Amino acid sequence: MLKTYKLRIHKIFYYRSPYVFIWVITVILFCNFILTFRMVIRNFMDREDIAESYPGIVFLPLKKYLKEFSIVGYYTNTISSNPWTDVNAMWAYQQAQYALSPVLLDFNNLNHQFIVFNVTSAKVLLEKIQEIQAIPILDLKNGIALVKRKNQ
Amino acid sequence: MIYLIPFLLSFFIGYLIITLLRKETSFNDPLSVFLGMGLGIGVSSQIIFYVLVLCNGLNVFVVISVHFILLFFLFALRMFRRKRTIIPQASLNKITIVRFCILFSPFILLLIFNAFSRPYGDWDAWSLWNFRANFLFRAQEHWRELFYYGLQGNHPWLLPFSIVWGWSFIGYEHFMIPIMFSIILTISTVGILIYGLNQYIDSKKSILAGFFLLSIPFFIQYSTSQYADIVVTYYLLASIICLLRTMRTTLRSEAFLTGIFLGLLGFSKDHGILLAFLLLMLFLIYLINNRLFFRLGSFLFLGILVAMPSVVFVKILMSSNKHDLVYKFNLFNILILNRWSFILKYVLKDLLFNFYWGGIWTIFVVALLAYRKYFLREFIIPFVCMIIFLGLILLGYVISQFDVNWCLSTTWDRILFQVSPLAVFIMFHLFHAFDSAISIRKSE
Repeated sequence: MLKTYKLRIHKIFYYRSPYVFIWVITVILFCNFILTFRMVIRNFMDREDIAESYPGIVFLPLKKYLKEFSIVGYYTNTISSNPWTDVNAMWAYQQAQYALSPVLLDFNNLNHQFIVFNVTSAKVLLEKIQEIQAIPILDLKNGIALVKRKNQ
Repeated sequence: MIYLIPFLLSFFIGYLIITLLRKETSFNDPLSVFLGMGLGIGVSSQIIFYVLVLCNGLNVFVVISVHFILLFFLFALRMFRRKRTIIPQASLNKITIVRFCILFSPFILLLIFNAFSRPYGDWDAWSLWNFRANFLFRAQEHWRELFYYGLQGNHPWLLPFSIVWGWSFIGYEHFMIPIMFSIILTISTVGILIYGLNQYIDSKKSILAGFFLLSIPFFIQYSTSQYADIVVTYYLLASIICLLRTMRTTLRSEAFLTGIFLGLLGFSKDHGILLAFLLLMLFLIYLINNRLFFRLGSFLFLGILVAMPSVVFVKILMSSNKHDLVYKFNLFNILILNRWSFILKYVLKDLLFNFYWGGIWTIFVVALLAYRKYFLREFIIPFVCMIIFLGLILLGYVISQFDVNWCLSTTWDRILFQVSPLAVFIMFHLFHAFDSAISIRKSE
């Protein structure tokens, strides 16, 4: 008796064929369409202005100073055990990299003549500049600056 | 409209190649249109690659000239052959294409709206793919430096090269090119799904399959994110459809076309390389078992060779990347049971309870269980390929050195997105096979 009442998926589909599959798909399709429509409208309403959403727009003023270089340094004081999977560290770095392309930014490497700084405060920036004996070329405030090393 | 022209040029090149290859057989025209789109984009990306290597930087004049010369050459070849061919060429079935456009217009509108919500795409789109494209477009003779010092992400470059082609044609960088690229490839994916299925099942059911795929929220979201996953999705399905045609017709031209699509699949992303390798191995086993290896094998490999140099070149150059971190594995992680259980819980929860997948995976599993007896022999290759691929990806999560939660949350849904049209393809074929069997039984 128990065997008779055992759930058998293929039996259900067998006796109701072909309508079960078509109806299931159609109902789910309708629900999905509503869900997708809602998602798309929400995304569209939340969209940013095209000019403002340009990745790394804050770094763009540095570009004119770096025209002659193919690789410069990039420094951030964001502490992370693995910076490559750190969302905060990578977000800013990749935005800078996109905006300053085709200049490549060597992550946390201070051995370049020009270094793009993106640190948490002006105080940290000043300390680090003194430590590596560099001079600021352009300070964009909020810890973002382009510096040049004296001894390079 | 100007943003469409480079893709139209690519399309004509791809379509002409397909019509030239398939001259021996009658073919389903709309399927060739959608296959031609992807093939043309692949050819354009290969042209960009060869121009970069041979001219040591991007030479826009050479790129555009090569496209026009190739188009002229293919057109002339087609005209020349047309006069001599005995089998009449099928003309474009405009009604079917028009019907496709009308039926799918609400979904295409949703795609367009969603794409314009994020003109520069999601994170990986601008930070990896579009960044590579704009670097190649601006860097001139320094373009190789990106391979040594660029950001991590050891993937092949079909997507950036295709974007560079679009920018080269219009003469400047514009966000419309990546948007157009993603929309065109998404529509082509749905097109090849419908007309690929239409070779096995009736048109109403295959159109329902297209509707179902396009109604999935994650499909719309990821296809317009400007990631390379849509490239893998398209070339995977295109390779499988060509592979199934090769198995059915045993034509050399089909084997060559399958090879080209497998090569382009390998050029799309690392996941594409894995998928192409798995498909190739399974197909070779099939060919050897059916004593077709000597007839089709060489043409298959010849097709693969079209894209192979670019894949090998990019992978060799990138192997010296100082920021490469993709393949950092720890085999001892296999012994950590907590890692396994966390991954399995995450995956099952995502497959069964994530509403943004629109129930596709639940229906897929139910359809497999219900209709397993009706599985056509030739569909075993794509199904086994999909299962092995997902299994290897899960194994990759287990042995990865990175935080497993980070790995899963950033990549798992994109992996599922890559195989979702294939799942719909298998699901609808199974249903049709079952339906046909029942109809035959009833008539008896």
